[in-house]
Amino acid sequence: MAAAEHIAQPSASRHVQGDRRRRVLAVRTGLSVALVLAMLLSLGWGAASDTRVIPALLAPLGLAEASLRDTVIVWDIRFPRMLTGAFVGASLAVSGAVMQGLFRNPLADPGLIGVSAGAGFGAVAAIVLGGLLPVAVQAAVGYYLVPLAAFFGGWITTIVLYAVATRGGRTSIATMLLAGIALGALTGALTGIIVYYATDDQLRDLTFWGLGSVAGANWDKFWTALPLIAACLIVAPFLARSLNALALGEAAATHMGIPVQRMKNIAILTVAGSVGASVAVTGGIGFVGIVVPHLLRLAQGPDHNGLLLNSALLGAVMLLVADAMARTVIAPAEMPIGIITAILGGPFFLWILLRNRNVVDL
Amino acid sequence: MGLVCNKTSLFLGRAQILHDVDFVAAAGEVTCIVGPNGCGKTTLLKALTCELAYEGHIALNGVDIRRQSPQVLATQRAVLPQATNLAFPFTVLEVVRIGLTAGLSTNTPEDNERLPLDALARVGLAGFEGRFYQELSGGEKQRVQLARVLVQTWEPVLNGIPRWLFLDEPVSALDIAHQLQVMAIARDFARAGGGVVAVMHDLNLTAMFSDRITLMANGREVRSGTPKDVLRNEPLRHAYNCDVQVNTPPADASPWLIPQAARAAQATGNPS
Repeated sequence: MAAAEHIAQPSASRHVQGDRRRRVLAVRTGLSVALVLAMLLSLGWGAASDTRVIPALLAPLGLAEASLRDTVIVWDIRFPRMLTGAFVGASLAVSGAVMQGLFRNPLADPGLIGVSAGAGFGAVAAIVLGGLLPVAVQAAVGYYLVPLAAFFGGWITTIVLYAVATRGGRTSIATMLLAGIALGALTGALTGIIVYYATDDQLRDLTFWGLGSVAGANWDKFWTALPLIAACLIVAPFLARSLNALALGEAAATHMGIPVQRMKNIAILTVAGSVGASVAVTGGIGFVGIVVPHLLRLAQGPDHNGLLLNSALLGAVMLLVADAMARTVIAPAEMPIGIITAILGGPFFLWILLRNRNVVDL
Repeated sequence: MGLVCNKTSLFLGRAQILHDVDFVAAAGEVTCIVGPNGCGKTTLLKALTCELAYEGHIALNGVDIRRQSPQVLATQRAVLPQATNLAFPFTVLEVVRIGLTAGLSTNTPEDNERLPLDALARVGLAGFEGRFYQELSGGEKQRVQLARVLVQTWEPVLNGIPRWLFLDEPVSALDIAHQLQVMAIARDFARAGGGVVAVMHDLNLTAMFSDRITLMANGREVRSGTPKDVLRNEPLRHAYNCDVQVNTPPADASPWLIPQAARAAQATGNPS
């Protein structure tokens, strides 16, 4: 088309209305600073006082002197816990953003593809029925039984759901949504049956697992979960272009050259792996997956090019802050982190929604 | 170089929507598909754009479209659907920019900044960049989508190969001034060497702007040819099951029609 007609257009350097890429960068800068602070907070805040943390951090490098006890607290308890919190928060938030883009619905969360329900069922079954396993198996798996059961429960549920919704090589998002509700009810009922047979101690474990906690984190669990979470965090930015096109509908995305089915495969499988691994390590932590992408859409717009990475940052910050509070509010006891995210996140989210009702309704 | 569709049939469930349709469009021309509601116009367009599975043979620029990947097809043609709703609150500029990521990314960064603004100006929406897409009227949304589509295939001919616009009722939501503007964009695109295939309802605009017309009824091609060949009383009456009277104004002799003229002609006993 005759581009020469429009030579008098504004130059690239001038800011154009409706271009929110600068805001994305500003938000990213702010969140990066916040993440560093939250990581320091997570290392420093707890039953051991702050002044001993810095020497303990530097001690293994030979730069400072600290007691063995402090070094162990910082390096073997708080460090893996901090990293686990950051990665799980990032994983849940990015997974939420990807699912919302894929389902074209701001209310979608990984629960829609059955991960949470399946993982919950797996965890409950492991807690209550784990004692029935052969002793050799129990000894081999040890305390990884619950995380493993949660991971495979979530993964298998997603695969089943995916198979149900795929016909002739095409996955119907609507079918997946509806089948997810059906399968969620079914696993919920099965979970209920198992809970019915649980002892009082097991019931307490179940409740705490359902509310989530980063307290059980250690290096082993972190390294086990890391590959799946990292895969999702690395793949997600490559989905941004596709998710943007998908916002216009599946047909439009195809016409714009997006291999929609391949992209669905990748998105669903990486999210299932990442959320499965997260839930396995920390239990069910709600709210992050829905709130984080939503807050960012209000702040910087829905363009996935900026949304996915910033979701990872904000998700990590949110979970680290919540965890820091979880272990100090009723110290020396710990509060489940799901309670913190809901108590703080719920009213805050409501307030944001009410303030931005005109944009939210769009 | 052109678009050729041979003996193409299409089923949705058990219903056969298209019956052995033959359709040809040439680069450098505006080809319109017309016909009554439910005759299969949009379905034919969806077959031509590989959106629905069909039986038969369709080739774009000499290559079977089923053998092309979506990525390659996207470099050769862009598709404007009847209506597009968005799931998230994108601004107008952001929607048009999504078109940049489709097709070929041979544009320079400066082009990528300028093209969306040029495209919006072209469809008469300069100054709308910062508005939320979901707050626009239906006609404005349709023109934003047209801008997005234009950005995808900005050069009508690329490396000697014509590119194509597939437009599904591009003007049905527009006022008369914007109808003319949008049709002029289509005609300019064709004049510069690209191909345009448009599903149309307004027969007068079709007569004004098209080089070729395919008239459909009941999933079959009724007649194809130049506007003067196709827009005649008999084929139109047969296709639409409605009396019309085709006329030509003295100036440039392109046909035009108004339903009232059919009744007037009958009353005076003077059919053309």
